[in-house]
Amino acid sequence: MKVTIHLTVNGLAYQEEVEPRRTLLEFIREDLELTGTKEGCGLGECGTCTVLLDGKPIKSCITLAVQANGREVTTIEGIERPDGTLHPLQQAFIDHGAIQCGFCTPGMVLSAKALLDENPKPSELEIKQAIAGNLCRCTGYQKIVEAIRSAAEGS
Amino acid sequence: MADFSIVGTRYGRIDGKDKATGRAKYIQDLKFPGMLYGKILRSPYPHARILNLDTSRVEGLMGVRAVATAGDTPNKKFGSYRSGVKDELIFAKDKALYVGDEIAAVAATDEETAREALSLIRVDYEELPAVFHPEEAIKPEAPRIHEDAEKNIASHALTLRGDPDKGFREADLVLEERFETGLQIHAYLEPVGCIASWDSNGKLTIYAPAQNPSWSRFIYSEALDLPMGKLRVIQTMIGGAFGGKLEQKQYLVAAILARKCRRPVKIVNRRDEEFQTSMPRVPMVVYLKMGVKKDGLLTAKEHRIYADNGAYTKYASAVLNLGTYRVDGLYRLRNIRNENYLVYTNKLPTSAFRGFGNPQITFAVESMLDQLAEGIGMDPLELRLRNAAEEGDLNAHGFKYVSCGLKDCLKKTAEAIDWQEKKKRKNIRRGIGISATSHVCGNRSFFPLFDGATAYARVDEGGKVRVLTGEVEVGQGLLTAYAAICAEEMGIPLSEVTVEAPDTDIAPFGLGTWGDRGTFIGGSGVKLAAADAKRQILEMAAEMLEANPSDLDCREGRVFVKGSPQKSLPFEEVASAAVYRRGGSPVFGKGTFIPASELSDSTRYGNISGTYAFGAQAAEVEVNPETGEVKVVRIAAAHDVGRALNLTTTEGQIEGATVQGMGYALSEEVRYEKGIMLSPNFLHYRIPTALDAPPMKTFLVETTDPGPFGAKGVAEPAMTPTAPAIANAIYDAVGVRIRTLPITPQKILEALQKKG
Repeated sequence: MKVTIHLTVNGLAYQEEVEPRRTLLEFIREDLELTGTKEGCGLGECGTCTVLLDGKPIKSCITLAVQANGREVTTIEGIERPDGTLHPLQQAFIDHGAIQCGFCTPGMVLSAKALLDENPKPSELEIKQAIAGNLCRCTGYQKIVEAIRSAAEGS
Repeated sequence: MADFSIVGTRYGRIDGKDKATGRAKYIQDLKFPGMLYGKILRSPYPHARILNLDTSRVEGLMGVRAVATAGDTPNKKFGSYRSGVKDELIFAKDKALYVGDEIAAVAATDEETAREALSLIRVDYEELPAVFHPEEAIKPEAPRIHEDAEKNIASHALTLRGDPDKGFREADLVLEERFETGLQIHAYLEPVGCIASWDSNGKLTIYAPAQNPSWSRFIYSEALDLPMGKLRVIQTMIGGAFGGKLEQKQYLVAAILARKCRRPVKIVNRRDEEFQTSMPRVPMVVYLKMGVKKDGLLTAKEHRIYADNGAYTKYASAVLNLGTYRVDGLYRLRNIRNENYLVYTNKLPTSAFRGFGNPQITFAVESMLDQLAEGIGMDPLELRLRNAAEEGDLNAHGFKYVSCGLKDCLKKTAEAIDWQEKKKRKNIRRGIGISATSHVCGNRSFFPLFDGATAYARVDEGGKVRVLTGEVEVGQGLLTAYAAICAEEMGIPLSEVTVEAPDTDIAPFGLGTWGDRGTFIGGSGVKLAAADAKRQILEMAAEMLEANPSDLDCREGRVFVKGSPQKSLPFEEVASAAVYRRGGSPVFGKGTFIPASELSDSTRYGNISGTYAFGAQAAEVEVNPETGEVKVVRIAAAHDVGRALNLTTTEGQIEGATVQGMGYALSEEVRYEKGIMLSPNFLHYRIPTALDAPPMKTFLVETTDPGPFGAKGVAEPAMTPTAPAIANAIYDAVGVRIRTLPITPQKILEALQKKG
């Protein structure tokens, strides 16, 4: 039996009917068609499905949609400014070569955003800890860490 | 240095914004109206006879639209291109040969229904004895996997150069060792997926993250018994490939399902299917013998390899026979005997992975070099420099090194790691190690019909240039490199150029992305196409400016008269005039590049590549003798890239490859029990995280090379030297030499205990 949830996604209010076992990832990708959030493993191990729930990074593939009831979800589609300007982290990822295949990028950017929102001047170790749950197979992480550091310095 | 406005600088990728905002669409993000979801039933046994297959409980199940088994396929054996072996079917018919072998498939209106339907298919198996290691599988008493493969040998090759016996006699020191490398999973983050769709005229379109769209059609057309003209492959955005997204059986399964239910069918692998059925790096057992004189001159090399093919032959034969002899040119070896056995086992089929055989053999050779150096009391760096290849060399296998920055790479990395000082250090726990590599940039012997690439540069009436090629962006930055080559050649800003992913109905035939050929070969084609388009633009401008085309040039988007730049026109205006004055035809530049490579002879002798890439890496490690844990303190990597087209992306290739190499060296291990993979997930199969990645310093060694603006490949060779550099550093740190990958803490502890 479906249940009704009320939540905010990227600043917009939604009232939706979902199966109790529907994951937040399925809800975001399939019901809302926000496909920027990726599914890399479905087991909470790779971090490509990272979204922010009330500002904290979570793995949406192991979170139920009903757990987001009454809360605020931010996906990669929700961090650009209304005028289309990129978030400083997005721009820094492009400028510093922190993106290769791009599949980990949305989750990586959101984990970094959660870090900088809470700790605007993180150390290198804090940056690495913040993204340790987001796997990247392409970059070797060096340029991702540089991008996050540069976005932090610019803020 | 030549005056370039884009090449050799730093700039963002042209697909960066789409990827940073989540707008980039991968196969998992795509859907079509009426599309169904497919799931594959796989063998739970490593070797079993299929006695009975009953799908009756599935047919008619609500939401199920098609069930496919071997009976729905042509049942024609096929094999990967150039393997020479045709040993697989779309669905296993009589026997399942590994855990994961495709048995049947279902298409349903949603994934859950498809999954449920799979559980209702009944298969009766008779378990058969199985074998999992190539050295076991080759024994006469081992269970036979394919009836026609005696001793389970899928291929055997022997290469002889010079006189190795004489070389060994002349040596002052000869060493023989056994090395073994592990099964490394690509672990790209985007799981393999596809959408297969048939039109009403019986034409199949496959949308997929395909690394080789054009040439994969050969295999699909053979497997589906379909003329190639009835098959279209459209490449979708690729979320990492590393050699793992060449031909996929999954696409064929989707095609069979889609034909049956006359609806588009999408299949996306679950992550555990990725681990259990993708085509990982070929594990190899290498028996290596090398001889050296007291003065450091290498006199002979002999290897005998038993490589694990898994259950079917994908590209493992090419990996083994074409990939493992590149290392022989690194150090001017003349006397060589290489013997390669590719052996079937009841495991997942192995295939291409960044480095293509080179990381396996280079781990053995570069580890051995350190042993030889120690044996003759020579510094390992000096031994390498003493034998290193140089520009102009013709190696023992016929490779011509038109450019070679190997010695510079060795010296730069050594200097960066403070080699001379740290080699004197005798403190236990910390150590340094070095290793080098050499690689092809394309491989003539892979595709005998031709070795080259064609590109189109199409200029529309708005002055925008669109580049079409058959080559593939896998994340490495190929689209950006091609856009840069085109913009630089034409004298227009980078923002004016877009590069298309291949669609086999529209793009030129291209061999795709593998063998480090994308930049060198594909990029050269793009440069020629851009030059052709520019020539046409200048001809048009000459008419408009009443000048001679040879007096014109284009820079920063303006066509001008050389010497009097006030006489100029915007590129866009010339382009639009060209289109309108030619009846609407866009300016269409075409370029074909064929490298100066040759097909090798029956002994594999020949200059198979137009140029060769070189590199060296040095690692510093800290080993905890109590726990056996290795921390990579830092890595210095120097690569001869010809010329870097984009400093940022070139460094990115080296850094990313190095960290993959580190995973290969230390942490990436697949555990099996009786043919069942125990670690089909990221929790147990440990690819490096941000906390594991060491600080890296990269050096780009530039040489004069025939590539586009002098560029050659870097993505593949950059992962080859990492594991041996780390292994050598571990020996330097704690005095134990581990000859099997990955070098786990357990192996180090055992070796330390043995050493006492």
